[in-house]
Amino acid sequence: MNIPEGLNDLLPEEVFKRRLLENKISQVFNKWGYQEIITPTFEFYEILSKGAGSIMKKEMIKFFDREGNIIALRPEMTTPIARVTSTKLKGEPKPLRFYYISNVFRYDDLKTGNRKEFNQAGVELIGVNSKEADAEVIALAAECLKNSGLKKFFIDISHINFFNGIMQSIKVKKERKQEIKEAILNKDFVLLEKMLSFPDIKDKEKEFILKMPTLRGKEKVLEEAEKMINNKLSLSALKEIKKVYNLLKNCGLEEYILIDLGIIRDFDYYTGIIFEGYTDYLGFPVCGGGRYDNLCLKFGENLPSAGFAIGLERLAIILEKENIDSLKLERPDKYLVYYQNDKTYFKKALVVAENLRKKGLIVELEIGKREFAEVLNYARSKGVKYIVIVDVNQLSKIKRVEVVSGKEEIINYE
Amino acid sequence: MNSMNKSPFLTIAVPSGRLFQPILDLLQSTGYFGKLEYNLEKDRHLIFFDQDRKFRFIITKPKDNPTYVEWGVADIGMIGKDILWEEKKDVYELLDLHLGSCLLVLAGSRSKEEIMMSIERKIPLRIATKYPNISRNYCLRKGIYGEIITLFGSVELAPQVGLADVIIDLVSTGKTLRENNLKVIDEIASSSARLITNHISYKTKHEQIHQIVQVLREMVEQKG
Repeated sequence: MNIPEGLNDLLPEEVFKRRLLENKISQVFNKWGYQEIITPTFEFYEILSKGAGSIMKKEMIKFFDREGNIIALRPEMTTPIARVTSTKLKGEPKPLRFYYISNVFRYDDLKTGNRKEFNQAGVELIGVNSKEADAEVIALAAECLKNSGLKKFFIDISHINFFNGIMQSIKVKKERKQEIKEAILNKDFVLLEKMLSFPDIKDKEKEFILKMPTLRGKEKVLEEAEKMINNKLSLSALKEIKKVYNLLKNCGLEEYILIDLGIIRDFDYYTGIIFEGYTDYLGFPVCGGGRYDNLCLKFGENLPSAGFAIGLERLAIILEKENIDSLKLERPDKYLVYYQNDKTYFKKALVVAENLRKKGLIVELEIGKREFAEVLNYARSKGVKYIVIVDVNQLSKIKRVEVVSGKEEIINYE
Repeated sequence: MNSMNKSPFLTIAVPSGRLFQPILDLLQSTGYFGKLEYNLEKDRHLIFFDQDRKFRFIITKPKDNPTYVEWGVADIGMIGKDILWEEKKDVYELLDLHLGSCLLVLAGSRSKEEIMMSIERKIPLRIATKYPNISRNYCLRKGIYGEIITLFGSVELAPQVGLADVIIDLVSTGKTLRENNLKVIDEIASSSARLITNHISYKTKHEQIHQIVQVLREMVEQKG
């Protein structure tokens, strides 16, 4: 009995850790005034594709409904939330702050190890275009990573118009420009160097484009870049990065934030600040986001927005590498109430179980009518700490056996 | 998913096979690495260190090389461009090492004219190859009605026994083609070894990787 490739069953131990992680993140979301939103697992492909580039369109899992409409499983949450906000919440006072913790679906996403279903926690801050909004979203991402228990991570910020400005300013034929752009998006710097070796590009521009992926660090990077470019779009992008960076410094996040002018993000909807978070422990970013001012317009509303998503599977892997214990919570002790198969004992067993649960303990009631030796084996395999034995009618006292040591004692269960 | 290596060493993935020794020689010639001793014929362990124990080397199957880099378990890798075209991994391609240069060609036992004719008439062309993705793209680009048969090696055999009409494969000297009575019909692309790096390693270990790129670039340019 198999399940389709790329899907996973999550067993109790894993679910426990996952929920713990989700809680740590949603706690932060809630404290920052973000409210949870749930949208359908699948929607019309036409709607979901409004926020998708050509690669994402290919990666969407699609099928037909009874009327022959194309349906797709959501590949990310930003587009559905943009749809809801632009339609059902049209007149709401802005800004709107939403968060989600949700599964998303993509075909053969190699970056997730061929996983077709994975989980994201993220926010959308809708209706405001300001540096403060950009900084809030980035600061929130950092807070979430911190609160999850992660100790060492970085968030690199850049601006989509930095790259766009450079591409606009170089004066080459349209097809050549497209080829140069593709080489950069494919991160093929060998081809890029070849493309830039033709004489139609100025030496200064060539030098700068090749330098771009190495422009990473603190404020100094901005000064360095400023000296080398003179197109308005890129310069204003640098100014915006600087403002957001300074705001983040005010938030006390300096140690986590870097500027990386070489960031290339593969979503088509970004219009402003972009960022990605990462650690030493994983070869992929753990979170990513940015400003998208035109997405809601595709649903008829002009709502500048910003947001990010954290990959929960990726974060869980990193946490395990960084500190094995960070996802282990002290769980209450687990009890098993065992009684002789007799109606009066059964009634008392119910009372005992109820009392122990009231104390905040986890209590299982024996229901298999098994011999004590068998129950003991079962308890061992299930991580039960104590078995309490209901056999004689002592008033509020009862016999308790510690499963591991076999040590017996009489306890008060009331 | 797997995790990134958290060793203090920068990890370099080197492909086994024909590129192994030339790559090791190139690395050694830079003087940047301690002595590299590994005998592909005799040694069986897949991880070794330079003598100064500053760098860790892992030996991968050529096709797997970019996978190790994409996942970040190797920080940098060195691999033929043909593999990068075929596998489409998300890695940064930083430098052409000008090693193992060869051509990716369409070759067959029939004459060029004959094969061009059947291409024009849209007669299905059976193509044996180790590169199904490259072949598919090539057919699409050229408007060839192709039927692709994926093999794992010795593709020169296929046209001779009637498994395929033509092959798409890598040619360095052309000796193998000649000995199997195959002629080049079209040159698709030229390939050589590339230096690749993981997107996150390029951030977290930037200084080291940047230095390696510099010393290799100097060496490659010296050689012309």
